[in-house]
Amino acid sequence: MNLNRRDFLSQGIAFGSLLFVPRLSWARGAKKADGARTLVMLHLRGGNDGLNTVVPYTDAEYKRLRPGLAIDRPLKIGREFGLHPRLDGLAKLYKKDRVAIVHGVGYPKPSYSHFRSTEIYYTGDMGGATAHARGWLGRAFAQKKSDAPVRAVAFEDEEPLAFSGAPGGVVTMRDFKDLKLPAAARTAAGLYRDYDNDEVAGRASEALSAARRMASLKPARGMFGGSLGDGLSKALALLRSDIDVEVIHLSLNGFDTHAKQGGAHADLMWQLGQNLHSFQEALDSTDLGARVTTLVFSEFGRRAGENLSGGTDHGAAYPAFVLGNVQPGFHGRAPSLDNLDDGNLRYTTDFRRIYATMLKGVLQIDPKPLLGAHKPLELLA
Amino acid sequence: MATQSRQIGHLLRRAGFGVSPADLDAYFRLDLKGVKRRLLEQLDLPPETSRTFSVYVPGAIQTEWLTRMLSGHAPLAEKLTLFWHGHFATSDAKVRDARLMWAQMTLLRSRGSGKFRELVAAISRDPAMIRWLDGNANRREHPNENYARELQELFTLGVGNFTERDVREAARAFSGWGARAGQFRFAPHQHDAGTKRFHGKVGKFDGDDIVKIVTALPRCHEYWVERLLRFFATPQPPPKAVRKLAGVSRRTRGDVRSVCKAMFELDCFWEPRTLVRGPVDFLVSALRACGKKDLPEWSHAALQRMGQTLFLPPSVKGWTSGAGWLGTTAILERLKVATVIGQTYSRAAAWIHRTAFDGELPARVEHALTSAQAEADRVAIVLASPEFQRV
Repeated sequence: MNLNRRDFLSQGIAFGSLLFVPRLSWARGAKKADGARTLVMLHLRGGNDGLNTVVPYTDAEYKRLRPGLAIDRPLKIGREFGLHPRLDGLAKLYKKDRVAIVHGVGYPKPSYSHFRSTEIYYTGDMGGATAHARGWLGRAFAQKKSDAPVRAVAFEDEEPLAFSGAPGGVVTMRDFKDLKLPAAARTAAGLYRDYDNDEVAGRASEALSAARRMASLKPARGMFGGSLGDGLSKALALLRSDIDVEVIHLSLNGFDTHAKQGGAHADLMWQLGQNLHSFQEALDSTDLGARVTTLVFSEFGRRAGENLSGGTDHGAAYPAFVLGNVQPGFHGRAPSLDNLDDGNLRYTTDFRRIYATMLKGVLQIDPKPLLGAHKPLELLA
Repeated sequence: MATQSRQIGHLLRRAGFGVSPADLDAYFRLDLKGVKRRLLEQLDLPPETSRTFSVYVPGAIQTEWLTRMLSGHAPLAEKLTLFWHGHFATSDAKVRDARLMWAQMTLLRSRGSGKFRELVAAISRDPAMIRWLDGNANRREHPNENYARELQELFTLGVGNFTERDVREAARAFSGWGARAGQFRFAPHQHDAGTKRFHGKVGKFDGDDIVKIVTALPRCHEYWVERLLRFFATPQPPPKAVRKLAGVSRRTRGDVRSVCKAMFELDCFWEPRTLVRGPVDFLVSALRACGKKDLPEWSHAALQRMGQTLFLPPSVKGWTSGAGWLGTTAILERLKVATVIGQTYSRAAAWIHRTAFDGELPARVEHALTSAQAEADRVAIVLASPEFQRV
């Protein structure tokens, strides 16, 4: 067998799990709570071109709408749809029944503004005033409280709006080593203890508490690479630790492909597919495969027809991916290319139903008070 | 607010980057009215540039601007420039040209206290902005809507105050506006010279016309003054304050200096500690409070970990605010910065209660200091305190 280095590492992880039964966290001496599950949210920032990601290759209208950009040879995953040819990693996972694809994800009266649509996805709220908006996960954490100092970790520069309103437990960070505090800082660090009812002091205390638990974590090996690989390496380290994290949030930039889309989108598909593959394979080599569900989403898709700059402009509905113990295959109805909404794909699945599914099935938080009429889908196994 | 010292300190913290030991002589001898007047007069002063400044040295533009904030002679001018830098947020991640980024900042500084309309008109022709929002891809045959959208959504009117059609028509008006070799260039053959309908007006508009129309809308006056208030005064500007400043803007045809002067009289401007200091503000103010005039070499890495690198805003929407600055890594970094400054400039323990807190230590800071003997710890506690994170 001709193993390259990456295969070797992933094999190594599999062997490792046999040696350190029952989980890799054995060496740390502490176990995760039984049944602890984690939702990994991956935001493809900029608006992923869904039509070239999950390609309706038998639809003549597709080629007519995209004379330059249409994908000629998608990786077929059924009689109607194929994946972008660089999404090979995701295709492999699909064949192992680890992927659910939800058609036509969106919401009514779509916004074509990155910021506004991101707000809508992060709050689950289409209402007007967003100055005091609370995130859907922030509200979920407020509904089901917990004392855990680390409930969610966002590998971002700034806490995503999705967590706004959470009564604590949200860590926003990049590198574990940035959480290390030098000994000289200890005296000053004690100062926050005296403050009650102060937001700065509260966050500082939480940060110190999270730092104690996380500063010595090391990113896992074996992820594919790039900024997404970097993020997933840290996510994996966190998942393997004794911290019962409920949500991990990551994003990948670059999807706003207004011009010369072909190469740029292909690179992104490659990064996405290869990294998801390495991540899911690493999870599936231990019981993490059963405990971790990953949702890949975007703030909107792109227009059905290509523009005159070799790219696509802001659109509406797109296909979302859910990875893990799912009901594999396609879900929902693919938007019709013959019945566009001013050039855009009409949504057929409201994203809030996916949220309801994750709340109920993964986070074990009742979605009704948070999302009301939007009922969970049958996505999870 | 009680004493005049506290008021002057508050004004210097909000309209500038806090108080340095030198400021204790320069400003605190004046009365409050005198300080206001002086800050506004300084807007006329051109910035001082270091003799060794070269745009082409990596990191030089950040260092130079931070140095101006640290030791420049016009704190309000620099703080206003920082505000506009966040308002017309342009990132070098895409522009990839320090010279253009510096030129844009120079534009913001030189026009930032003049008429808002002229500032918008100038920014619309700025090569860094053109590159950032795909101006060069906006041609008659295939209009690119990026600038037309962000101009209305983020720079002048806000979401919900324009239609998709306004975006498309404005894009047509800006077609042919580009930049080549670092200069604005109008390509007439790329320009769609046809009739456009824009916010109820009809005409063969070009980019300048779009700017004229949009900056004359009542909504525009309200929009930019509200953003100004969110940066300088309060996270939730009261409608009355917005209306008042919008009125000043309308009456003075968008004069930023007049609006600032009026802002200094608003109640919401004088409420203490309602704003969280951004990382640049925090670092510069901390160094100034210790009497430092030059930038430590760890500053850039620290600012990045705190979440704010000049010339690299996260998106065209600009910087975050409030609790957005207090993520885990970011807040730990502030504590580490406070510690390092304390270790390096421990002598500041002799005066930091005056520069940081106008001579009146907040009760909890005073209490925390009782358990700190070493000067380095005392300085660190003051700078890491929740009260110092706010203005």
